[in-house]
Amino acid sequence: MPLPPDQLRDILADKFPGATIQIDDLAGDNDHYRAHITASQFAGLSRVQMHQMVNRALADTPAASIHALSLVTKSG
Amino acid sequence: MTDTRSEIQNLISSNDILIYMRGTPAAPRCGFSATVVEIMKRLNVPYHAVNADERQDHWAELAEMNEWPTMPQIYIKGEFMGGCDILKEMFLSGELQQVLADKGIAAA
Repeated sequence: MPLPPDQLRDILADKFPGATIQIDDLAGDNDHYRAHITASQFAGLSRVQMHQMVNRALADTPAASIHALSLVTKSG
Repeated sequence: MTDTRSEIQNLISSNDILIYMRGTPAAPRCGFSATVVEIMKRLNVPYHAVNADERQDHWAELAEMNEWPTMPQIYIKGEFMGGCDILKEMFLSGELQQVLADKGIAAA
């Protein structure tokens, strides 16, 4: 289900308070994004674990079932 | 263990590199899957690909097992590595080549 970029940002900002979030709209179809997230909540996690954390955060937001979400995550 | 999960576990343990993807290596059905196929071609390492579009049962189980709703999903020597982003990042930094060498996976 497509989701406008600013809504995706709000959902991520809500789940990762204080994080730096940048959304790249890859295809302009509200369905293909790359989210750059730098969050303190990622401290000590491997890349897979960081992405799983984001997936979990989005999983319980039905509106966020995006077809393709590419992630660039950093702890910080 | 459900038979779907045991089917998956069997594939994971019997292949050095297992790639669940959309479509096939010859005809990937999404850019992220195509990127992974391209990386494997450049590394010239053997792998087993499963077309997740034709195994929705596996896809659903993997999404839950790995907390990873999308494809592709890559396993190396039984370890879940993540998807296209992580594999590309590792390939570009040379970390992937190191992991393959460490795990004794030689180019074909």
